[in-house]
Amino acid sequence: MSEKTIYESLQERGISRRDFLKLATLITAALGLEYAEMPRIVRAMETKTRLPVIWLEFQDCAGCTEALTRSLDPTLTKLLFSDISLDYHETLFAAAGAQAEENKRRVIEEYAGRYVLVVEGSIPRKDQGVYCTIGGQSAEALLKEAAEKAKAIIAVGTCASFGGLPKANPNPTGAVGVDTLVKDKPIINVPGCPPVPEVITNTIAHILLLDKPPKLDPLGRPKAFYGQTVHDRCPRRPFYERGQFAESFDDEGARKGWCLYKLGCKGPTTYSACATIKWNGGVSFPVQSNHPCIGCTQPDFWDEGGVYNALSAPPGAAEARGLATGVAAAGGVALAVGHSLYAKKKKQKAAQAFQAQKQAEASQQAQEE
Amino acid sequence: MSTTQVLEFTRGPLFKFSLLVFTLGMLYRFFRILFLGWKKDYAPPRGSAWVGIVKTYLKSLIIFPFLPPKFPSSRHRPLTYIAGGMFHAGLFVVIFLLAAHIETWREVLGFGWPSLPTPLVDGAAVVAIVGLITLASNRFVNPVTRMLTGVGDWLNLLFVFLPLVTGWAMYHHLFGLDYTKLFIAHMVTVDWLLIWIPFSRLSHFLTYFITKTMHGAKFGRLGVEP
Amino acid sequence: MDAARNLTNYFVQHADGWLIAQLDTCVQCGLCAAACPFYLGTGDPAHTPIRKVEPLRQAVQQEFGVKGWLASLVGAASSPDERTLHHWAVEAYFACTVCNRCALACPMGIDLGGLIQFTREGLAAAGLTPPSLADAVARQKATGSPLGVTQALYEDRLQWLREEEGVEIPLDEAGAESLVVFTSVELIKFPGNLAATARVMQAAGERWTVSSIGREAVNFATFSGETEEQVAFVQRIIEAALALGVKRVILTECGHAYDTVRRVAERLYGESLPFQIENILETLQRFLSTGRIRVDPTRFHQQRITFHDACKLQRLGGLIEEPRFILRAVASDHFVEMTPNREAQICCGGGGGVIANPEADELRMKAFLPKVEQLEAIQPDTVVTACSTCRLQFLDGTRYYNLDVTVRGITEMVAEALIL
Repeated sequence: MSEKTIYESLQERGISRRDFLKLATLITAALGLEYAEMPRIVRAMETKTRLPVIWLEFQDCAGCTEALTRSLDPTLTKLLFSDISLDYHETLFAAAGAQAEENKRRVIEEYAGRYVLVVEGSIPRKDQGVYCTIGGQSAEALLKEAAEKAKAIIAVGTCASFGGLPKANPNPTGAVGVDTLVKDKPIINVPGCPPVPEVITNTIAHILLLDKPPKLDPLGRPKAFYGQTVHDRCPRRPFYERGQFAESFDDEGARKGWCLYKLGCKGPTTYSACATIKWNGGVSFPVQSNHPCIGCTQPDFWDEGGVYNALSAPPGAAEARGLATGVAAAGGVALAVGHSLYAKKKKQKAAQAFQAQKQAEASQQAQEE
Repeated sequence: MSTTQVLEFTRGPLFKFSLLVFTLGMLYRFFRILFLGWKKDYAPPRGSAWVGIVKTYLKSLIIFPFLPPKFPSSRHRPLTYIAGGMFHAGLFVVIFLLAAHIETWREVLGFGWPSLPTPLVDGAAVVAIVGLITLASNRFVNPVTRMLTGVGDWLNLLFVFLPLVTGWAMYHHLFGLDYTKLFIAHMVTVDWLLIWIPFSRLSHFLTYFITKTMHGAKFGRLGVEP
Repeated sequence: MDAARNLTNYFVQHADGWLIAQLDTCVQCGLCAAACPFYLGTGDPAHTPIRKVEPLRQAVQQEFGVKGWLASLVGAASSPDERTLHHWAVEAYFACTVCNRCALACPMGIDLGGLIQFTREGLAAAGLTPPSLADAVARQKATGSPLGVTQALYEDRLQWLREEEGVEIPLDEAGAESLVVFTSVELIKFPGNLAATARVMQAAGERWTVSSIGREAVNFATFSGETEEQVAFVQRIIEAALALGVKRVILTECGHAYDTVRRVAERLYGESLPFQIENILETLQRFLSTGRIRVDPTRFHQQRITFHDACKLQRLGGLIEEPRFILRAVASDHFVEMTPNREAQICCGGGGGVIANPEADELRMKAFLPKVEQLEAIQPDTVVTACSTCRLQFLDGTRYYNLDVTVRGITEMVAEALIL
């Protein structure tokens, strides 16, 4: 049974050549490619068949799935959901239990080396992985099993990419991201809490159509979407430059659209497409809605020192104010006392030595006379 | 270790540690002078020591940056005088009047104060950097300062230069360098500077108040303009 | 070796918080050099004021600093050799007048004058004072005068003056209100000062006297840094004043005497001192402002007159407006100021004992160069000063540089202008 190409599937659904080319243009842009690349996309869609996908969820909140399915870009999302066969998804599948697990294993064997593994949620390692099990198997084992024959792995969300919320201090479950456990497969990290839906879909489309992962930054994130900081593209940047900041939530400055640096915005240290692609089809993003960026695409952002603490105001300095400073001050004064006493003793010794010397010189002089 | 973790370390525990070392060191430096004490000035007063003290601070700390120097030898060394003033004034503005730094002070002290518009502080930073470079080159060119300058003095200049320049580069996203990495560099250089100050001549900013007060008192008592 | 050790021991023994504060706060800006006539006149950075206290800095760093402590652990503590010690003595005694102009120029307010004086004290304690100075102190100790003017010589000279000038100079007169203490420099080189003072006292109707014991205002131990001798020399004046029961001691045209005598007296007696200590400038102003003497304001009307502020009297004594008051009284509108003036005046280069060291002659002439510039800028006919060392230095300097300027002492000017 030869599988239908994507173009054939679309034809079947009654989409004209013209609409198909329009779609191809849209996808070219979505992948961050130049218009000249469009023929490549067209050819890919004309020749490629459906892409099998296995979507595993571990220690997650399913927020990434929610974001994706609530994406308001129906054409692209529907395209992907109809043209990738979502052969296994914990949240979306109606099937459950042993049968669903059995089905997954069948897909792994049948499409060995050809399927894409999508992982959502972090993987716990403590206490033999008892904190997340499905059908009696630990998340780690499930991951290794599915990763072994995958073509590539996409870690969707900050939990899968870097460990996310479960990894925050004190990390009671020993949570880690995918690339801590899997070393021998290409892994694309698509972090965010949740990631911008279009970033997820566009990354999948890239693999689907161009057969290789997009260019990645040192943290394994697609450069096309994670190459610039929120700060670099923030519409409130002029206020940052001028030094006009909101002092408290919803104050006059905030309502005028002033910079949220003082309210803890992590925009300058956060690489994400939030400020350009935005959310809900380009309607808004946190800063635009008067909430500081919490830096959710960065590793360990939960431990990045307080959501509402400005980047330049290390939290916990207030704790140091009390005891630690008192101890340091006392230490300084004690050192000063110590040194003064030492100096005074030295002065006495010097005085004695000086006297002795003078007496010696005097007696020598007396002898000479 | 992720970049985030490195950043958190340099502006969290390392910053705290540096502040504590700074506190300990500066108090040590200050109090050992007080505890060692000094002899009474037996000049029979022809004037008031307090008037002398007030005058000397007005002339050299408060009005100094804004008026031409009153003492003629400063006019002989305009470069040292002007560049020194530029540097200190710029540094003061950057440390105390930048909105981002005031947030740091607020966290450390428990209170803050109004800031200057950021472009002005940016200008002040440039003034400070230019002043510092001028002082450094003058140190090399002028025969008196070249003779007086030791390794410690060069290190002092370097350790003050680095936080200024990393902070300025950070704000301007200079050369497209990564903000987070520049932030780490800024914090590392600031933390090091805090640790270095009590053990070097840079502590002069505190002992200055002792010598200047003594100077004002001495000349005030003599009845001479300090 | 002994000298070096004695030097360090002296510094350590007398080190205190003031010393640490001063040395800690110097940032090596070099502005002190720009104020020093020895640097300005030679361009030699070795005469930078903070460099003159190098022995002090090294001793403190070695004994109280971390670097020195580490060095001593490793046995790498260095000791200065004879050449270095000699160089330090030259810088402290020949290339400095302790004028304190550097102290005013220092942006950190470092007491450079105090540091240099302390350095001199250490050098003296270690026996490193230049021989000419040491000899002068020894002479003052033995004879009461650094020039060797014994009591007999003194009384002889007074008698000669009485006859030559026709003035009364009471000696050891009981019931006198003021004890006037001259310097042996004036006695020998500027006897006109004594005559002038006598005339002014007579015109003012002052009951005054000189003392055969407390007869020397100059204190060469101040220059050498020998603190014990310094006190002993001042004691002679105080005891004489106490014995005579005067209300006031008047110190004549000497720079350092004013501060030295008052400071030692304050330390020893505080407020219990039964008499005041005054400088002749204050006396002259007092007489003029109360009308006890009257002067002719046109007496010097043909001359452009300027005043040289003596470092120890003006910058360190505060007697800044008194000479101007006096000169305006006798020279009305022909008085011009040098630039700079008052507490910012440039030292003439002869004070602090420098003029007493023949080996320092060449250097002090170079130090006079800024003064030459100042004089050439205003072209005065006469330079007036209230310090005999300045007067000597100006005489030497104007001759050396062929300047057509008359050098005068202020008391003589007043005496000449007296309306009797």
